[in-house]
Order: sequence, then C-alpha cells, then structure tokens
Amino acid sequence: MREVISLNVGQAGCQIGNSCWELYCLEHGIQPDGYMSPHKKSTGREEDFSTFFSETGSGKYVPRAVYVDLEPNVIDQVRTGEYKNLFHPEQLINGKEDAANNFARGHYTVGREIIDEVMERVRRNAENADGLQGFLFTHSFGGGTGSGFGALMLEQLSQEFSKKAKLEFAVYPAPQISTSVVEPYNTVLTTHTTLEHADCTFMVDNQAIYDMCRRNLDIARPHYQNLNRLIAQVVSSVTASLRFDGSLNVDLNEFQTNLVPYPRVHFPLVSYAPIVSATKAHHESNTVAEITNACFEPASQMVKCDPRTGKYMASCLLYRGDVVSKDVQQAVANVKAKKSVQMVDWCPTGFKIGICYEPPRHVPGGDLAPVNRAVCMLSNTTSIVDAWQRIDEKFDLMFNKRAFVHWYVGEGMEEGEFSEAREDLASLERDYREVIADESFDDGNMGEY
Amino acid sequence: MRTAYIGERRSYFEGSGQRCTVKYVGTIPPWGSSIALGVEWDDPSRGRNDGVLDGVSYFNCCVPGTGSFIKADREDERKQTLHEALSETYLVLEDETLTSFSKSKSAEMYGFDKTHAIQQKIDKLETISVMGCRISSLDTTYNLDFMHSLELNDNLLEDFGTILKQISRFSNLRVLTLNGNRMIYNNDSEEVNSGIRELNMANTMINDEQVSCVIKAFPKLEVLNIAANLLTRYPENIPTSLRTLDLSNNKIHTVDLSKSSHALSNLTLTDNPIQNFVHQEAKVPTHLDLRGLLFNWSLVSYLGESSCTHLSLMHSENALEYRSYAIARCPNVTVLDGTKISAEERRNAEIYTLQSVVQKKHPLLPQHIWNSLTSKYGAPVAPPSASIRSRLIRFYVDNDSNPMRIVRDAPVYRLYMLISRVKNISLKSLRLKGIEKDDIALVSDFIEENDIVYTI
Amino acid sequence: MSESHSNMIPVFVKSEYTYGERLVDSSWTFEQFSKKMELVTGIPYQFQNISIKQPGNEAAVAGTPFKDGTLASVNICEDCCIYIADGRPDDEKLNLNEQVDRYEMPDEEYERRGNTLLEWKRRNMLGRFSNDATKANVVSVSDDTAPTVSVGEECFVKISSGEVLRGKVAFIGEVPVVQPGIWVGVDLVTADGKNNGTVRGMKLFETKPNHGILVRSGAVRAIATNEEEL
Repeated sequence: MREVISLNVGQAGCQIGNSCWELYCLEHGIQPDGYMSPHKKSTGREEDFSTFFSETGSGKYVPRAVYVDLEPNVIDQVRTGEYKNLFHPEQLINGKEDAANNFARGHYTVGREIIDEVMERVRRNAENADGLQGFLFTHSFGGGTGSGFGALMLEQLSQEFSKKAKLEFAVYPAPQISTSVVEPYNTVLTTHTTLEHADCTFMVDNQAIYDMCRRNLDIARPHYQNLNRLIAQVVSSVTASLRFDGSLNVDLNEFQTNLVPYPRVHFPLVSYAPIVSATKAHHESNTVAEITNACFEPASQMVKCDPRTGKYMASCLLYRGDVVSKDVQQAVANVKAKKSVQMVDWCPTGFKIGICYEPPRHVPGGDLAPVNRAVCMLSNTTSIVDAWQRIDEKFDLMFNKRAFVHWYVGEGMEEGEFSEAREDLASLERDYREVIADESFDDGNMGEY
Repeated sequence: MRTAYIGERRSYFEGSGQRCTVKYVGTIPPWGSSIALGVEWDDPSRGRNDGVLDGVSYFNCCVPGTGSFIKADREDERKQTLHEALSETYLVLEDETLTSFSKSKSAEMYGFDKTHAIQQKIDKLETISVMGCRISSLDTTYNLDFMHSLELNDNLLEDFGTILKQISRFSNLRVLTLNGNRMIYNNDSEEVNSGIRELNMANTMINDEQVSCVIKAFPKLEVLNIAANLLTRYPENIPTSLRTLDLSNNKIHTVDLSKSSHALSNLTLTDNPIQNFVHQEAKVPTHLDLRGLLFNWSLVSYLGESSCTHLSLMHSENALEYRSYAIARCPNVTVLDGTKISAEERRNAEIYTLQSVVQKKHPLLPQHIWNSLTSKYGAPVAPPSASIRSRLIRFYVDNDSNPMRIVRDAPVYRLYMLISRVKNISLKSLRLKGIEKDDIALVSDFIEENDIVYTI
Repeated sequence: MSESHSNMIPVFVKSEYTYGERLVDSSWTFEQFSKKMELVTGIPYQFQNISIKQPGNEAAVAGTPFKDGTLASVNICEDCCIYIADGRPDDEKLNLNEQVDRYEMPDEEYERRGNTLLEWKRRNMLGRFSNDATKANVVSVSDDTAPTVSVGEECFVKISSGEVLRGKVAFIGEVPVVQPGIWVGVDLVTADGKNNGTVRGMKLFETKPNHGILVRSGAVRAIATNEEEL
C-alpha cells in the first residue's frame, strides 16, 4: 500500500481540503459518514482509494488527513458540518489565537505552541500506514497560518520524513487583488523557508479561478466555496492516478521525477479543461482535441502568466475518462502545430501523457457540468517566473520603506531574514533565466512561421 | 465516382474533414457541361455565397454565406458505418511515442494500454463517443447492450427516421447526443423510442416542425437540448416527463409556458430574441436561465412570484442596483445569477428598493409586492398614492372609440405590451408615434388623460 | 447539516490596496476587528475609517468610526462589504502605487552563490556547458526548391502536424528574418495559421489574425481543377 497523508493548513488550506474530501468521497462512493454507499456500483475496475482513506474495523473509511489552523473557527465548521463524522476528532487540530496574517506568528510565536501536538498527530497517521509515500499540503502563501505554520510543518516533516515526497497545492497571491498588504512578505518568507523542503508546488491564484467562475460558470459573485470546488476538481485530476488505476504519476515521487529537472525550480503551472457550466456544456462537444487545445489557452491556467514567452522544461497531460490514444495523438500534433510550445533541450524531463479511465465526477448542486472527459496539464514552464517577479516587486516596494517590518520583528524575527529571503527569491528568478540562457528560440521549428 | 444526391452528407479533406450537405446537383454556366455540386458547409466560416451565382439562385443556405459550388468529381472522404468507427476508435492502440516536440524531445504516452484493455471490449462499454468520424450509418454487429450513453457529434448522419430505427436495437441506451449533424426529418416516421431519457441535438439546424417531429419520437424524454438551432417558438408537444430543456441560442420570439410539461424544472432560454413571454396559469420551472433576454421588470416580477427559485438574468446595466431590485421583486427566488440570496441581503434589497421606488428611481412595484413589503418594513417616506384608480390614465389608440387605461407611472414598455396585446400587433413590429420603446421612461412622460396614441 | 455554534460570518473586506472574503466574528468589538485588520489593510487601527455596505442595499453607510460596540451592533451580516479607509494625512499614508526598481541579482553575485541552477548545470555539464555545445549551429537550407505555385493561386498547405489546410498563395520570396531560402506565405481559409502576414516584424502580406502561415515551398501544392470552388 502506498499511503498519502493530506495536510490542510490555515483557513484557505482547510477550506480547499473540505472541497477536496467532498469530491474524493463522491468519486469513491463514500458517504459523508464514512461508510460506503450501498448504491455504489462496482465498475470492475481497480480503485486504490486506500492511499487516501484508511479503513476501520467497522467498515468505515477515514481520510488520511490532518486539519490544522491556529484559530478555532474554520475547524469548528468542519466539526459541525456535513462531514463531521467522516473525520476522527484527533485529525482536527486548532489553536486559540490566530496568526493575524503574520508569517512570524505562524512560524515562530503562536505556531510553536501547537507544532508538537500537530507533529504527534501526523506521526500517528504515518504509523497507521504500511508504505507511506508522502504528504500533500494545501495552504495559502499569503495568510499567516498558511505561510508561517505551513513552512514550520514542512521544515519539521523534512527532518523527520526526509525520504518521503512533499507536494503542495498553494494559493498564490493574485496579481491585481491582494487579500492583505503583507501578502508579499508572507509569500517571499514562506517560499524561501520551504524551497529546500517541498518537492513540487502547484500554485493557484484566486483571481484566475475567480475569472473562470465568472466567465465560464456564470456566477455573478463567486464565493470561496465556488472557487474551492473548482480547485478541488483540479486537485482531484492531479491525484486521480494515485487513487484509481492510473499510469502516470502513480506515485508522489513521480511528480518530481517527471516535472522538476532541478530541485529549486519546482513550481509547475496547472491548467484544466473543460470548465463549463451545466448550461453551456451542451453547446460544446468536449472532444479530446477541444479540451487539449483549451488547456494551452491562458484562460485555463490557474496562475496568470504567458507561456508563449517562455519554454517548457517538462509537461504532463493527464487525461480522465473516455479518451482514446488515436485522438490524443491527433490533439497533441495539432497543439504542436498551432501553438508555440518550445521545450528546453538540455532538461532530462520531457513531455508525458497519462490517462485514467475514471471520468471526473460532478458535485450535485455544483457549478461545473458533468462531462465524460477532462484533462489537466502540469507544465514546468519558465514563464511562471512572471509570478515571482510580480511578488518580488511588491515586496521591494514595501521593504524599501521597511513598512510593517516591526510587526514581524515584534514576533521575534530579524530584519536580516527579510533580506535573506528576498536574495533567495532573486536567485530563484535567476535560476529560471538560466534555464533558457543557452537556448535559442528557433529550436523545434519545423520550418514554419 | 459516386453520384451525389440532394441531401447527401459529405466530407472533403481539407486538413480536418470539412462536412457539408449537398443542396444542388447540376451544371452552372462557368463550368460548362461538367457537373457542379452546390453545397452548404457545416463550418460557418467556410463557404463563399448563399447558393446564388451570377444572379441565379441554385439553393438556399440555413446559415448565410456557407454555400459553395464545387466540382462533382472532387473526391470526398470515405464514409463509415458505426461499426467501422467503433473499430477505428476503440480497437486501435497507437504507438505510445509521439512525434518529436523539438530536437531532442518527444512526447511519451503512458497507460493507454490499460484503458485500451477496457475500451477494446466494446460490447461492455457504457459510454461510447465517436465524434467527427464521418459516420453515415449506425450499422454494427457489435452487441452494444451495455451502452448507456452514445455521443455521435459531428458526423454524416442523413436520415433521422433511419437513425431512430437503428438505435431501437440498443436496449440500454439512455443518453443520445447528435450535436452537429444535419439530417432530414420525415414527418411520417412512426418510430418511437421509449428508452432514451436524454437527447442532445444542439447545432443541428432544426426548425420548429422538425423539433416537433423529433420530440414525438421520444415520449419518455427527461432532458432535451436543442440549443443553437433555428427554432422560432417554444416547442409545443413537450413530453410530460421532461425536466430539463435547453433552448438557448435559437431565434425564439414567443415563449408559451402553458404548453410546457408539468415536470419541467430547468429551462434555459439564453440568447433568444424573445418578445412575448406568455405565462398565464403556467407552472414556471424552478431553474430558469433568461440571460440575454429583452429585459423588463414586469416579467421579472411575474417570475419572482412563480415557482421559480433559481433565476439567471445577468442584466448588465446598473449591475448593483439591478440585483437589489430583482431580489425585491422576486420573493420566491433563492439564487439569483448563480449567487445565493442571504436573508440579510433580501431584507436590505427590499428596503432599498422601496426607497428607490419612492424616489422614482425605480418603476412601481406590483401592488401586492408593495403591500407585502410595506407591511414588513413600514411605508417609506412619501409613499405614492395607494389607490390604483387615481394612478390610471385614460387614453385612446388610433381611431378606436373604446378607451384604454394604464398606470401613470408604469414604464413605457408596459404601454407597448398593452397595445401590442389589445391590437394584436407583434411587439417587435409595434411602433408608437412620438413614444420610444424605452423601459426607463414612464407612461406619464408621454401621455395625459384622454390623449390619442397613434401606431405607426 | 447541524447548526454551527460559532458566530463567524463571511464578509468582504475592502481597502485601498486589498480586497478579500474573510470570516469575522459578530461578537468582536470594532476595536478588536480594527486591530486584526491592521496587517490586512496596512492602516493602524486608530486611523481606520470603517463603513459598511449591506448586501442588497447599494447606499453604503457613510464612514462612521464605529469604535464602540460589537460588529453585531451594526448588523454585520453574510456578504456585507466592510470598507476601511485610511484616516491619516496624505503624506503619512501608505503609498503602494509608486514605481520601484525590482532588485535583480547581479551576475557576479549569482555566479558566486552555491546551490543555483547555474552551478548545477556547470557541474553536470548541461546546456551550454556540455561538450557538444560548442559545435556551430549549422542551419540547413533544406527545402527551398523553386515553388510550383504562384501568388494568387489557390492551394493546399501541409503543416507540421500533418494537417492539410486550404488557402491562397499570398507571398513568395526570401525572408531574411527567419532563415535563408525561398518561402511561401499563404492566406488560409481558416484561422489555423501562425501569423497575419507579418513575421518577426517584417510585413510580407496581409491576412486576418492567424490566417497567415509561412512555409517552405515543398509544403504547398496548387489546387487541382477538380478541387476548384465557386
């Protein structure tokens, strides 16, 4: 057995976690109380949801998950919500005092008070696994708990479980709308702290998701629940091959092998298609060619950046549902001819395509239409450096004036840590540029402009 | 070379296949004695004319500009049976290494052998998709008894009656998708399929008569999608079992909900030039999508008090105020434009709308809504006269001797609706002299007691 | 779903530089709330001017400093929008609209650092540090045989995906900005091309966006008479 433990940290992390577990349960026929639905039809195909759920003696399935937040409210909602019986009380941990959007509180002062308890719970979950693959984090980079405590957990996990894979789904600050002024500080600080510890980080920017909800799903005023359900579909696609009989990225370690040529450059861009509302779904055929093509459109990306300005180090196209190899070949050939997809030649990683026969599942009352097939693309492209440059610039604007730094110093941090973190990010920007430093942009062109 | 016939579906290889319908077979002056085919392309961006050449009309096009004349001896693509398409789609496993992406990179495929092992047992598949496969006939010797859903989008199917006969063999088939096919519909077809629950026929260029012929054949239908077609009115013979109906992107100008099925709970009418919305004594679906519709507040009011709970309007002008007004006018709606209305939002919207009405920023509410809101929150300052009689204006239309009456501060749009109904002139063609069809201005801005209104 | 015993309410908090959905507790006093919003909005709590817009009521409550009482006292409710304005004099306000030169790491500094991609590439002899990278990039002028089509003629183009597209020859000639040799520009019937007639800043012909494509002459063939169209 190859178990995966999910760690949902901070408000955003816990709320995304909720949407993910709601969807996983639907996909595997598990009811909100943890028991298998009596209506579940056997498909005769292999399912390996024991990677994500453990089975108790009584036939109940419990998510391999730990929820952590420094303040009680979000976790209280899980404790009293529809899925309250799905989790064991020990999996839901909260402190009393919030991190107040301050990395330093999450990482040093407030966070220290519960880190031992949290690690103890994680350890217990790990002991419950025969062959732990690793950990799947969901958290935000901008909030205090997500950034500070998330980084603290990753550091500790890295010491204790150095051989296990650590993947993150992270809410990355949106380019135009900040949820807080100190978001750039928290993001730079947490990225610096975890750069060595996380193997692969999938970033999601709320504005990109918000735009998808408005544009594709006809929601006038999207709420976090709308955004999180969409994110959950993406997370589910990425993890489908771990839970069903998949073929590519069937192991958490494979993500790193397939996508990350050099450990620091571990932030693949995620795209997903189709994103259509129930009313629009009928107009489109959602053929393999259409959804593949859509995946290469900026509107399908979870982070705003322009892949045409960069090169791909690696890419994984993960199909789900009724998809045949012939159509995939044709679709990929089309994309290659019509889009500018430039690969970095020296990287050992490449372009891989996987398939999982289980189609995506529709959440009753959800915004997305039921579909027979979907595709999720993970691509390590140099253009994601745009996102780093944006946040670095915002960091500099404030740090030049030392704005709000005293809030961090007051929680035991030193100013030097800011400079050190920022240097590290500047170095990360250079790493991205170095990827293509020796590449010309004509490579791969078959004599066609 | 096969001889073409009118109505034949063909595909010509131009990169991807370009599908078309043969609409004319014969000579045209520029090509002398050689036979030309007049075709209408499926792709709306393809084509050069409307079937007219040098002033002579040879055929008509459903979509303007999609006609072309091509040489009859031009080779078209081979058509397939469903059997051939299934074999080609599900029995072939392509080599897992794709063509190179750049000098040293090729794309590799993983696990398609696994799905292939599932898919090649065609007789066990529940979902089958053969889209864009140049299928002209549903002949197959595969046993498709497990098949629950069949997607046949963008093929070369020709005769709907034949298809009906052929699908009756698929005993378990519940969902049939025929989007993008252009077929011939014979009204004499008596074939009935009681298995299908969901039918998708978007972008098939069917008109009102053809839809009616289609519907007859599926008495147990629960979901019907006939979006992006040529419908001009709400279909009449809707099966009583129908729950979901998508009519978006048609040319519908009249909707008569009283002809709808009682079970209908989900209706989409987005992007139709609707002028008349007849809803007397009709059960309104709980989920109603009217985005892009000609907007008027009295319709909103009507819908908001019906059984509709999920309403989508997405009226873009004054987006913020619009939402508040719509909420106040729709006491039964719980989700507006995809976003839930909280109790607090409703309360605020109702109070805000009451004030706006008093300040004449918003047209009058229907009397009973006004009553119910004022009894809830008290009358706002300077309430308008409650007596409807004192708010009526008497006026005459053209040379009619009988007067008509309308509420003084009703929007002008209502005046148009009233005259359109009484004079039996379609709202679209109705014009009133000196009064613009404007839904903001009030009736009293244009007419006074005993005025005569002239239609143009 | 069972009743939640917390008083947490999702609201939107907006300030000059920030916007976001947040959970607030209606039993918080305005002072507590303001203090929590300091790092969110960047405005010290004493200077926060708070106003509230209830959902559905488009007239926002004017900027009253609700310092006393709890959030519940002003009917904080789901979906309401709390605006926080900066009450300080302009010169003391946080200004995040300035232009700033983003710090970029100088070459020497990057070269000196350990644990960089540069160092790793060098160590593993990848990219330009590999042994065969020194070989000159030989440009092969492979396929520039004289075209069999002429400008204005209808044609089929075979593109690199193997697809064949229909179009009209719009340009024949050399295009120094790409590679040496003769090139053929085609105005495609469909928007499946790669340019609009301008390639790398050089205008060769003119088409609708993505209707133009520039290929080697071997990829173009004239349309046979039986493929003519009117």
